[in-house]
Order: sequence, then C-alpha cells, then structure tokens
Amino acid sequence: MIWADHAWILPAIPALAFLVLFAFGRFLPRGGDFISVGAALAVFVLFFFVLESHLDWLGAGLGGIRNVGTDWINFDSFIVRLGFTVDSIAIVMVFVVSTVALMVNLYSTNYLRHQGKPEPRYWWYFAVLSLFVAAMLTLVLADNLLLMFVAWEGVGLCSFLLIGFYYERRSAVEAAKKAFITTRLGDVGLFIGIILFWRATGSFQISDIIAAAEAGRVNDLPQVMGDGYLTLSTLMLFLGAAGKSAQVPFHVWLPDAMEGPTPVSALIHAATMVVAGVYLVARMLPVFEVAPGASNVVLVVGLTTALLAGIMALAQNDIKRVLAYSTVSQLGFMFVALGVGAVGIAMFHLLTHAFFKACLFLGAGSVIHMTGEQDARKLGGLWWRMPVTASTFIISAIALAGIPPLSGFFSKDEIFVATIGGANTLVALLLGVAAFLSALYMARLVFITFFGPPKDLAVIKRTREAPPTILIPLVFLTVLTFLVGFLAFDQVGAALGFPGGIGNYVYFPEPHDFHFSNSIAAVTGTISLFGVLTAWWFFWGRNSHRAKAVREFQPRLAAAVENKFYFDEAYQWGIDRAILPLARMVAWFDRMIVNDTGINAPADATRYVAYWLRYHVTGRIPDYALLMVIGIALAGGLAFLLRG
Amino acid sequence: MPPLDHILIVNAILFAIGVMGVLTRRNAVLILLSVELMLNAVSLNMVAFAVYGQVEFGNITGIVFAFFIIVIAAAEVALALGIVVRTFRNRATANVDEVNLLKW
Repeated sequence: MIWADHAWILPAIPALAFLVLFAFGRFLPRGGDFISVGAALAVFVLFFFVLESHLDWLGAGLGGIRNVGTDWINFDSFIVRLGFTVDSIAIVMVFVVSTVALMVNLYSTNYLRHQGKPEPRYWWYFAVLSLFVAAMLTLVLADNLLLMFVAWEGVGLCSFLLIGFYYERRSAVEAAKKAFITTRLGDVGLFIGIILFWRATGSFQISDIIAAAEAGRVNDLPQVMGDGYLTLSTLMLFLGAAGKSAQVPFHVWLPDAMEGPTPVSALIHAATMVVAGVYLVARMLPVFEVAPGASNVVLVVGLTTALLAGIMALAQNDIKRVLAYSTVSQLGFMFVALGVGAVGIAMFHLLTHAFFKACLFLGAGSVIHMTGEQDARKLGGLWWRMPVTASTFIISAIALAGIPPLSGFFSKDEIFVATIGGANTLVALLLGVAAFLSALYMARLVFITFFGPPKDLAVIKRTREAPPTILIPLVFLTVLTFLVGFLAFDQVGAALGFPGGIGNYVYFPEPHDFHFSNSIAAVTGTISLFGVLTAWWFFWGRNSHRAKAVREFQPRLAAAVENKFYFDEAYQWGIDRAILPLARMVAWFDRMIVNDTGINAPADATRYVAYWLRYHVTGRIPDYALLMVIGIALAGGLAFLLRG
Repeated sequence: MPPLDHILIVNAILFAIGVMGVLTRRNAVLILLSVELMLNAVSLNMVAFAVYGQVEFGNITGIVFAFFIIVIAAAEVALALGIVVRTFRNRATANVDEVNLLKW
C-alpha cells in the first residue's frame, strides 16, 4: 500500500474520533480521552508510513509531489477538489502536528484533572482537540485553496472554542472573541485573495495558480491593473497569513489567547495553528516571488513583528504571556526567512520552534498546574522543587535563545545566512537585535521563575514535581529539541534516508546545502550569549535592582513597553470613536430605511388591501366551485381566442 | 361508426351536466357523483381520440390516459368520501352550505 496516496486517512482518523466523542463522549468512561489519544497515536504512527512512501518516490526520481483525491464540487466550469497534496512542506507540517498533538493529548489527560478528578466538560475538551487535529491536518494536506480555507476556518473555530474553554471566566470569553474577530479580519482578506486568484486563473488548485503566476497569466481580465492585480491578490493572501500567525498589527490576539488551558496554548497557539500563516506563504511562495513587492512586504512585516514582540516580551510577568510574545517574535523570524525566499529555512525554524516552544508551554503548564500560580514575580527558586520540569524548560529556553548546539541555534543561524545572502545588511542587523532580545527575555523568564530566592514560601512549600503523564511529553519534546537541529546537516539527513539536509529536502526554487559559516555562527552564538549575560546582569536574583533602575531612568518608555506599546488601547479607541459610531449609523439606516420603509411599508400596504379583499372568502364550497368554473372558462376562452 | 364530432358533442353535454351538478347540488355525495361524471366525460374524450386516431400521439396514448384517469378518480373518491364521512360524523350533515367555517 502506498500510504502517501491515502493521505486522507490522516485527517479522517481524528475527525472520526471527534464524531464519536461529540456523540458519546460524556457517557464514556474517562470522558473518552483514550479515543482522542488513540487517534493522535494512530496519526503519529501512520505519518511514518506516509513519510516512507514519500521518500520512496524521491529516491525513485518520481518527483516529490503527489496529488490524490476526488472532486468535491463539479459544475464543469467550477471545480473544487477534495484533494490532498503530499510534498516535503506538507510532510514537515504533518510531522509537527502529529507529534505535538500526541504529546498534548497525553499531557492533557493529567492537566485537566485536579487530584484525579476531571474538570467539567473534560470530554468536550478532547472532542474539540480531535476536531482541531483533523482540521489542521486537512489544512496542511489540502491541494486547493478553498479546501484549505474551510480547514483554516475549522482550526480558527477550534481555537475559539478552546480559548473560551473556561467560559465561566469573563476574561476567557473576551479573549476567545478577540482571537476570533482579529483572525477573521485577516481571513476576509484571505478569502478575497482566493476569489481574486480564481477570477484570474479559473482554478482553486494551488499548483495551477502557481503555474499561472509564473507564466505571467494572473491578470485581471480587462487588464486594468496589470501586475498590480497579482500583487493585490498575493497581499490579500498575506493578510490572512498575518492574521493567523499574529503578525503586527494583528498580533494582539495571541497573548490574550493564553486564557485557554495551557496544553491548548502549546498545541494551537505555539506549534501548529499559528504557523498556518507561515505554511500558507511557504506553499504560495512562488507567487510571492513573482508578484512585485510582495516579498518585501512579508520581510518588513516579519522583521517589525520580530522586533516589537521581542521588546514587548521583556516587560511581561505572566509566564504564558512571555511565551506568547516570544511565539509572535519567532513567527516574525519565519516570515523574514520567507521574505528572502528561503522556504526550507522558514520550515526548518517552524519545525525546531514547534518542538521547543511546545515544550516550553507544557513546562509552563506543569509549573502552573503544580503551583497554581502563573505570575513569574510570585515564583522563583522552583528548580530544586521540580527538577525535571525545570531542566526541560531550561533546555528548551536555551534552544529558543539560540545557543549551540541546540536546534534553535541552527535554524536561527540559517535565517541569518539567508538574510545576509538575500537582503541588505540593515535587515540582518535588525534581525540580530531581535535574536538578542529572544535570548534576553527567555533568560529573564528562566531566572525569575526557576532561580533566585522564592518570593512566596507558601507556593514553594506546596509544590511537587509533576506526575509522569506530564513529564513524558516534556522529556520527549526536549529530546526532539536536541535532535531536530542536526537535520540541517546533509550527513544526518542522508543517514535518515532523506536526500540530504533540510535544505535539500524542502526547497524552492533549488536545493541548497547548509553552509555552516564559522564567522556567522560565531556572531549569532555570541549575540545569544550576550543576551543571556545581559539578562543575568539585570534580572538575576540580587541584580534585579538594575532592572528597576532602568525603569526609573526612563519611566515613560518603560510604561510604553509594559503596556505593549498601547496597541490594545489604540484599537479600543478606534472601535469606540470610529467603528461604533459607524455601526450606530448603519443600525439607524437599517431600522429606519430598510426595515420601516423598505419592509414594513409594503407589508402594511398588503395588509390594507387584503383587509378589503378577504370578503370574497365566503367559506361556501359552491361559491369556490363557481369561481373555479368561471376561471377555467375564461382561461379556455382566452386560449381559444389566442390560438395560433 | 358514428363520426367523431357526435361523440365529442355527447362528451361535452356529459361534462356540462357534471359542471351544473357540482355548482347546483348541495349534498356532498351528489357533488362527488357529478365530479365523476366530468371525469368520465374526459376519459371518453381520450378514448374517442385514441380510437379515431385524430391526434398525433399515436393510438395507445389516449387509452393509457383513460386508465390513468380511472385510477386517479378511484383514489380521489376514496379520499373525498372519507372527508365527507368525517364531516357527517362531526356535523350530522352532508350539506356543503353548512360547512362554511373556513372564511374571513
């Protein structure tokens, strides 16, 4: 059996699990969590079969892309396929999704229990988790934009449902709404982009659109806009990607999304859903390359996001919020890589980031679960209370900081190499600042959470190491954090059966080797170390007076950073001053003009006429019969008179 | 055989009698009877055209139609008589003038 030809099975398994859990979950023992875990395990195992058959084609020279599937909608001129593509980008994504989904499923079976007692709606959590995995796998395997869009909204829905899982809490409800509406703004752009591409090429198939764009055939039909049409369509796609991947100015939803259960943050808001935007741009990158200016927009947005989010992460005190801003910043790194046209490198950073960030979130969840506290200022000195959690967290943090030889170092280093090769020095310089910031905020978080004097002895006293179901995913992800970085090397890739390193497996337009440049590696490694040292200088236990001094030296700047540069306030102002007045005007128009005049007036007129006409309804059958006969006679007479 | 015209005239008379019956009778059963008369006039028309081959559809069509009408008529009568019986049970009358609640 050629598994890659049956890739539809991958999303079908969790979809089935969702249906079972949705219907019977609340009646099953343990809320049916074993069904969700089992589905994730099945996907994880099947992935390796799919990978093997994909590598078989590559080895046999059959090309790396295979499309399978059937027609979903077919009206001759309008065909939408229910088709799945298996290629190297999809393989990377499926690997990330299946691995992290399995770990998170396993972890959640303990995280959503307190003293062995499941939380309310325990079954519902696992049902939505399965639905999310199904939608995410459909998204990454879809071979056309419309199916991808359906899955795209599906993951958005699951994100909404899981952020609002504790809907008794008002802040969770608000966060869920914020996430849904903010990403929806981008999604509208994505949908417009899909329609624009369809109008120009007559197809939703990604391969058709790429071929048309490369042949210069994506134009509006009357040729009014020329190349502008292609750029506009492409940027509309990017709007959707930026919304989903929380790029500036859409980044505001992701930190608030931390209201959801922590494993959800690990799966959806760190490793999988938020990288859907990166995946979309990577998938459509040939179009971005052809469209004039599109790549530069991606580059600038990514760079801005990487810098701004890095600065914002510095002043956050909630563990999960620091990680959320860090995710936003790292997504910015990926977009920078895409902006200089390095698909393989963006996917590589996506891969390494997924593992260490999922591990960080799960570690943060372990801390929150065992201490009941998520404000880093009230923690401290935790490392000797929970050594396994602390060591996995610290290792992942080192990986994120970009210190060799952990995975984050390799992927970030490759981004630097690509940026220096593909963009100007200023970009590389600013990216260096962003990398410095990542090391700084991660080290700060580790120092104030796990080291230094405990700030709250009561918390420390009741804290124990987490149980094995929580630790196993942590250790597994830490091992992956160690290992995946070495995929950059051709020798490692070849030993595993790949055609080479990741640059030789995932590429566009041509494969490239990993150039391990000593000078650049030395520079990036030094930047990261310098970041950690700076963090030590300012935030390590007894040094914290220095951070305070900085705050007092520039109070307004510090306040701006602590308030996340007033993005939320600006949006609130815009909503209060512009959108709500406009909405009130529209509502007035709707009520007075559309409703009272447009709809009620004809209705009133009809009622008035009917009031007088109703008296012909006598209720007597012979009267009706007579009217019928007269009517038929008239119709017959008319037909007789008008006969040809 | 008599010419087609004659048969058609007979049918027309039969149909008109049926119409008059429907319009003037007050007893529901007799109205149904008159409806049957109209249906039979139509069936006879069909058969006449079929036999005389005056229409281009071919002979069998008219006869099929006639059978069709017979079946429909039987079904319709079963239904209508059911209604009449229910009405009679409820209101102790089969006079259609007294069944006039459904009006303005």
